[in-house]
Amino acid sequence: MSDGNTSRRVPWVAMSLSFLSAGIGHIYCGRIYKGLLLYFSWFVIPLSCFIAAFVEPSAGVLIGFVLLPVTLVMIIYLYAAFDAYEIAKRGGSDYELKDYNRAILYWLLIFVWLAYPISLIAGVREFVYEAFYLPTRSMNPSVVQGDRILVNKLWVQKQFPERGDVVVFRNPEPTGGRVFIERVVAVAGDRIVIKGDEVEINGKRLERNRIPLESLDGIRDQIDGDPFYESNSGKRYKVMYGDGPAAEIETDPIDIVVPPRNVFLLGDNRDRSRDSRHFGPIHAGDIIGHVDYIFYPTGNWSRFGVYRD
Amino acid sequence: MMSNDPMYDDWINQRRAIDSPDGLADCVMATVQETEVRRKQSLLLRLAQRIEESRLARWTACMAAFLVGSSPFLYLAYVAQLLVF
Repeated sequence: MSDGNTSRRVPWVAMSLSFLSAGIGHIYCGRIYKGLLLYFSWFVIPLSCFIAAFVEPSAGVLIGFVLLPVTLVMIIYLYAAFDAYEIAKRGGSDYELKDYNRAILYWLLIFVWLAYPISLIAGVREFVYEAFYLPTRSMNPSVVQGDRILVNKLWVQKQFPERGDVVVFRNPEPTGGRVFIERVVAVAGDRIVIKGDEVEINGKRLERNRIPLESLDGIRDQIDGDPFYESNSGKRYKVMYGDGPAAEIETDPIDIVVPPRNVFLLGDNRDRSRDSRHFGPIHAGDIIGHVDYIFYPTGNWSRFGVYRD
Repeated sequence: MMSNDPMYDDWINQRRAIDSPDGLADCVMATVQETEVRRKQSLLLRLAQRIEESRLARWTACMAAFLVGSSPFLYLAYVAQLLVF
């Protein structure tokens, strides 16, 4: 594996190479196996995210399978640079050059490094999890303005949405944002009647109970209306009425049967949401994914973790 | 053109009688290319030596490498909606 030539290993060169791409500094110093292990450390992220998307959401899964691997890769990147520096420093001036100690190989690996992690991240974003920032108040008080959420995209492959699920979907209208986040209140075949504040599913009015403001301590500054618990098919979730001028959301009474493979969606902040009351039911194929986690809540961190109603 | 030295004239006539080898042009071009590569390597070597002489230059080189190599992390922060461009 060597050509008999010797050369000094320069510590700052080893460190710079490692900063350019984790592991190259080790390869430069003759530690090819360790170098390759460090080089491919980014594969931990898609693997762990894939596992996380298939198991039951929990705070432990979010930390252990999503946030920890990302942190680990960052630590590995920094460790690789400082370790390569130390190895080169200890190595002295009589390092025997190996066949792979070639500038062209370093440049090739650096070029691939700049492309492959980005492809892996883009792949995870496209098929497994996508993060969204909420710029509006349409889902207050469940998911509030400024929250960063993680949407499970594999979920739509596994099941059809149920009443009470919070989903992200493509905006069916040409104006406004690219995607919306709303709650499924009725599924295919359901008859939904909305008159003013009253919502009826299959002839049964959805019950509401007032939420004491004290129980919404972390998000009090986001509550400008009257919060309620709404019950729908055994699920209970938070909704809000009275936030904003009623004229903004005034719609004609609705009485429709949700078509096959469609769902009817409403924002939880009923007076500040543009939803199926305006653009009708949404085809299930337009749903991007299910909201699994709030990974960066605005204000109080007590809402960090699994999204719960 | 003939010189006044008969020995030199004989020698030059003998040289002219010999055909040049087929690969001579390739050989000359390869030598020129090699010289160019050596010149470039020597420039890189001189640059590396200049960087090694100065602590500030060494830190600058490392930081520049860090800025380039950490770009996947920047993309990750962008995808996680922590950075907005």
